[in-house]
Amino acid sequence: MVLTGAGYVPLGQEAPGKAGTNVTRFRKGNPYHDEQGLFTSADGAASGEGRAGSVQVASRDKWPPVRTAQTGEEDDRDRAEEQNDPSAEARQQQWGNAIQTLRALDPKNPNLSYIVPQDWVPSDQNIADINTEIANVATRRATDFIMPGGNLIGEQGSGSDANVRNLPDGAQAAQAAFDYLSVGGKPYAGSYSSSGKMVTLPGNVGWVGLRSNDQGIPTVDINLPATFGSIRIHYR
Amino acid sequence: MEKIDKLATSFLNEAEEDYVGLWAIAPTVRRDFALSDNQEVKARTLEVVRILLDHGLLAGDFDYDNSKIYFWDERDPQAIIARIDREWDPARGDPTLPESICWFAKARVQ
Repeated sequence: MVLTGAGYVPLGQEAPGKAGTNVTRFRKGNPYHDEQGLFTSADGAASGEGRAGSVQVASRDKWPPVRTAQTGEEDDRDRAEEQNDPSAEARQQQWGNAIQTLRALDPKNPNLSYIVPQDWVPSDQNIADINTEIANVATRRATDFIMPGGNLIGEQGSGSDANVRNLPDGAQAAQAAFDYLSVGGKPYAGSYSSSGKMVTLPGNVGWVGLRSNDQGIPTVDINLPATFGSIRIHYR
Repeated sequence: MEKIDKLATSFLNEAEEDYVGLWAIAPTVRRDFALSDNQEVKARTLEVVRILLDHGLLAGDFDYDNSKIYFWDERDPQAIIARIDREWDPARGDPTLPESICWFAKARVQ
């Protein structure tokens, strides 16, 4: 369901909005929307045909723009204020980047499905909210990898620390694990780590790295300070 | 065996086949001792490090790109502890994978 000027209607159905009001095209000035101003999940689940006029539509109450139907005059005033906002473009850029990250992490995330009005500018709170969602999803993704079914992955490795794990299939499996965990992250660039073998996870929830251990065995390091601390997985 | 010795032994065993980063030790100390105070985590971790050094491990910078360790010039445990103490600001939390301060390995690696 979506909120339109005429009330809630299912995504994909024409809302009985103002007479003669057509779909608001949102492409201009914001490359992160489709031509109908709709962010959709990767599978296109939310890409409806009909759209309400210039009134905000959202599929979640959490964000974005929970604006109720307004008079045209108020709407125009809001838009004029947004257009005078010098940081508007930067916030749209941040929002677009965040949407791309969330889509990469979780293509079916319900927060990806909503419609916004032409030239909508996210507020700082909108951006903070979506970044919180990214951090939650990134943590969950890493957690599900480390503890599939609630148990630590693989077999316990050397020492008595349960956070050292052994898995089979060598370099290929290590690379696949690193690639999976790195989705949506950014290569970390620092001294002795500039080749992309260490990545900062989305939402800055931690880091993942791919290296060889002292015996030449491919090893994936996972550092999630707020949850697991440190995990070392050796792919033998 | 005291808890701190058991923990150190675990890392000594791990060092038989792998480099051990301070980024891995600190959160384990935090977890096993149920610590929330960053200064306490640092103090306890340095106790573990002291045991590792007394058993012959050396500290160094880890070259993540090439999976190599470059041992510090400091070889004396006291000097290594002093350097870690200087470089570890508890206000910034525990050492992390990209900012581990140092890694440990057996001397034969170099």
